[in-house]
Amino acid sequence: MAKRPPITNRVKELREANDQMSQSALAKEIGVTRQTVIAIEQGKYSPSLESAFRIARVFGVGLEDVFGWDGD
Amino acid sequence: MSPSMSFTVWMSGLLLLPFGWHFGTVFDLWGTPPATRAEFFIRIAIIVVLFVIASIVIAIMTASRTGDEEFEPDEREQIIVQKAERNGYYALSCGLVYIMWAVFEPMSAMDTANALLAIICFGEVVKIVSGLLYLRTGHA
Repeated sequence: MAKRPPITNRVKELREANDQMSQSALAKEIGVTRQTVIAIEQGKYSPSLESAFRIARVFGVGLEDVFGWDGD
Repeated sequence: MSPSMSFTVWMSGLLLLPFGWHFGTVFDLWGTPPATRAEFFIRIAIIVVLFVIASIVIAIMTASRTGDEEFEPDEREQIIVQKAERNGYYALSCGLVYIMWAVFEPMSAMDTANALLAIICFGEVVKIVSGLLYLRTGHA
């Protein structure tokens, strides 16, 4: 079983707060597949720094408003 | 799954079909197995050439429908492809060690050639299955 990365995120919450934006629409905005957005929301995949910035830009917030560090 | 990823998975699967047919002839399930080196290599060459032509045609058709940007795999898929290829490489290495061990027993040249071909196909199967598993579980 793959270990979950120690990074939390509020992507789902921000997406829903943003006019119920769909996963497909967000995926298209940041240039990834819908499955990747699902994996990010479930905390199974940590996006690259570039995609993280793109996600923050889409929601008009800072990087740390979207992602958090849950490790030691 | 991006069109590129679907293309990779389907083409790998498609490549295994003619080799599956070939191994069917080797195990006397159907058809006639190659009896000489020339027959063996002609068969393999025909399979590879047909596969390359099919790959080019399908890649052009898929890319023209989706556009170049959408055709490319995304970052997570690229990691998955790398991990799946690593697993395929491990399987191939283990298979080669097995062949090295097996060739010390009496083994015909045709059997050795078929065993090497089977190991290559095994590596490809491991690559496809592990790639699909990574895609399915969401981990990369």
